[in-house]
Amino acid sequence: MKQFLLCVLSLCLLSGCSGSKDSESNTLKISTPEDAETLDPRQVRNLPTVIVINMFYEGLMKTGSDGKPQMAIAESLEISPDLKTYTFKLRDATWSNGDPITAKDFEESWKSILEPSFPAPNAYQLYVIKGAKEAKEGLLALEEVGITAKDSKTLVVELENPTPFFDELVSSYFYHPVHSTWRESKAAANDPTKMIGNGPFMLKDIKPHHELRAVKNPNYWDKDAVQLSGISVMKMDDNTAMQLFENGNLDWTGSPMGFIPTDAISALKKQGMLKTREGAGTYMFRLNTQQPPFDNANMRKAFSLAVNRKAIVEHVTEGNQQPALGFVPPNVGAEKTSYFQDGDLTTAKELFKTALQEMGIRPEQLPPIVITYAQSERSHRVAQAVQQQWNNAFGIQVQLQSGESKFVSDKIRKLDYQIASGSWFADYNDPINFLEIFKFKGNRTNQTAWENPDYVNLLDQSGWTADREQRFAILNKAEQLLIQEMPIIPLYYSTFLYTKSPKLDGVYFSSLGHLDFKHAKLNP
Amino acid sequence: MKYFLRKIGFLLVTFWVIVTLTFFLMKAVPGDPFTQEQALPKEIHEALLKHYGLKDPWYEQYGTYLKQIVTWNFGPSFVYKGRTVNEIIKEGFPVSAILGLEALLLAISLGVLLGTSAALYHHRWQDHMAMLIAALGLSIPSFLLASLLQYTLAFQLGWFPIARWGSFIETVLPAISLAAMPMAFIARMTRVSMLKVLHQDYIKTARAKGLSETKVLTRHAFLNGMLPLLGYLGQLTANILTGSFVIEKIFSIPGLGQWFVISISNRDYTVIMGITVFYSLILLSTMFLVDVIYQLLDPRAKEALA
Repeated sequence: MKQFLLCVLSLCLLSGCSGSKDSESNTLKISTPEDAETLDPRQVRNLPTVIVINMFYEGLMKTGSDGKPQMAIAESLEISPDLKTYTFKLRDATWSNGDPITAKDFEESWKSILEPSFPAPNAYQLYVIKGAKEAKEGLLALEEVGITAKDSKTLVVELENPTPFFDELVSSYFYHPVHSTWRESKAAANDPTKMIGNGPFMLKDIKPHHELRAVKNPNYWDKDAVQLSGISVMKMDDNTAMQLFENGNLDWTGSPMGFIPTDAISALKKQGMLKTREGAGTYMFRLNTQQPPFDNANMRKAFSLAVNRKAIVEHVTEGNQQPALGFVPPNVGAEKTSYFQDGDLTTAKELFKTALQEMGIRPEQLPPIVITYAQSERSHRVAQAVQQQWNNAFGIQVQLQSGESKFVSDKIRKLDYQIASGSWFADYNDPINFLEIFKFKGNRTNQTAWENPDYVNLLDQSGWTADREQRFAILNKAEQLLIQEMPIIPLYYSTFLYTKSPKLDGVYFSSLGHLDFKHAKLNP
Repeated sequence: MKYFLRKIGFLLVTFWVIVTLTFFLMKAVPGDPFTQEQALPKEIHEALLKHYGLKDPWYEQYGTYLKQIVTWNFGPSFVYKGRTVNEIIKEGFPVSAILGLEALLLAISLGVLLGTSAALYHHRWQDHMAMLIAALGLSIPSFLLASLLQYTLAFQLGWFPIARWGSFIETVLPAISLAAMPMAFIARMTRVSMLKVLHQDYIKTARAKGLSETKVLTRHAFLNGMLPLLGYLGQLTANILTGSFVIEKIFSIPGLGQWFVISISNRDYTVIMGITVFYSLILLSTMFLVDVIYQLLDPRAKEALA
């Protein structure tokens, strides 16, 4: 009772004792450690921004609560037998200001992303469309790109190759439309307060670095399905958020916007309040395959096999993560997910010996081993654990080197490292999104200097294969090859940790870390 | 007059050195606004850099930047799209300044009170008490005090809101956390200088004239005792008005201090530069102001001028 009174009191103080109106109590409050960087879907770069963008915009398709793409602004979709032409029929839907949404809106939005001068960090996600890459590079006129609004309700998209995951792409924020006012303004950065969206919610106001308030969009085509009257996205530190949550002033905190503070995890677990969601992400170490000792494949394998992942997820990360014995997370579609045995010390020691022989050196001649990582409590603890494990397995000293995140990213990009902590999170739900990051040496995402012609071939082959089963078999083979060569040491698959008010349900949390509040409900 | 002109000239040179140094240091730090762990494709990364003028030769970027300072238009943030640096300063500074003023008032009034009473009751319990408080204030870091206040007074007892910004009651805990250390410092400084003043001959004369103790204090001792504080106050004012990252973070306050730190980790060049320029202007002008006040208050300095 006393606690309840205190809650009421602090709530009163917070709301300035305005008295709780109906819409107030039906407003979801969620914390974020970072502001949304933009409300223009064409310029999104991080997860907190994606989540806000998805409240305000909807694409032709969207991810349904079963994790599969379903119709959204499009009413129906026809795919040609060769999987290269997609014809979308749009439903009668309007923008938040009442303007009708037309096929032209999509054509022009996508083409604006492909304009060579437009700063769109995710433009490459449109490269599956015919002529898109050439257009972005300025080699082809935008009119030649395979996006055509046949009439106001029909959009025809021609693809470069059969792309079986195109529906996944179209469901993601890369393919959201923007209203004509923002396409026409030549300023690259539009004023966020003048946003016109087409999603379940629309913007009420923004106080930068403090709070973004959204309200239900009365012009949304499926507005009857929307139950909340609004959402407040409140920017604050994760630790502060945890306290506000415990006092009942927040309905959701932790992932995917931020993190549950490490020291709060066990307490939440005890109360049964800790929620987990398997993510489509893999934590790993990259190896610099350009310099000794990791230019030797056996050495790479030895180090990987000597890692005891189970011990790491149980004692270090403590978030129900799964040890990664492959690279593509299990929920991204690949069937086979274990390619080797975890903590296989016997094989590791043998491989270590073989590798030393191949290199013609004695163990004490091994160059000093250094793990580089961006400073965070978790990376530090993982690196320490692995340091210990390698010391036990091979009797070698491993040094740790940490730094500020951009500083470390820059070092890794320049291959100025030996072992580097990293991760990859899916942008859409398909194994190719993971495998292709190591396709070419020159890929910015590769950063290991590893390249293998067979691997390139397999990935190319998967691009031509229309049959789903066959394609997945090819991708599995590619993954197997990657693991055999071990330019990376997979560590564990990600899980999102969060906590939410028991009153709240109906929020869909996708494995990509996106939240869908369309059907969210705050029960009294 | 000539003295002040020289002073202003000196400040302008200092200002130029600060902005130039910041520019080159900022460019020397590895990474750019678009460096991230899930790296962007090369051609897209390059296109972004080009779009924001980061591919131009350094002297052009430096020139643009000097022009931005002179016209007081720092351009858009590279990271927060559609926001200009001017807007960020306009929104963030008043928040930090209100909080800072509150903390400043608290620090000065309590600090002077504690310090004076410690001096007046030298070696008695009031003195020990005041110095104990001051020692605590100096040794407890502000983030610790902030967390402590937040946890006990707000989270457990519910007397104050835990965090956020908008009403007066929400400013109390952050202001106290921010004020504690300067308050302690002021208390100690006041005590020392008051003790010194109270032993001066002219105080003895004043007492001998039969002036009441209050009059001795207010007329003769206080102002002279306060003079040494002035120098410290200038710097303190600049520091405290521009916001504290830690306090703003703990209490989730949308002030300028947070923007500054975040802009550095984002490599949000225009924001870093804009806020640095703004900070240094505040610092330099408060320093100048303190100088002026000092000249006006201290007759010896006035004479030296003449």
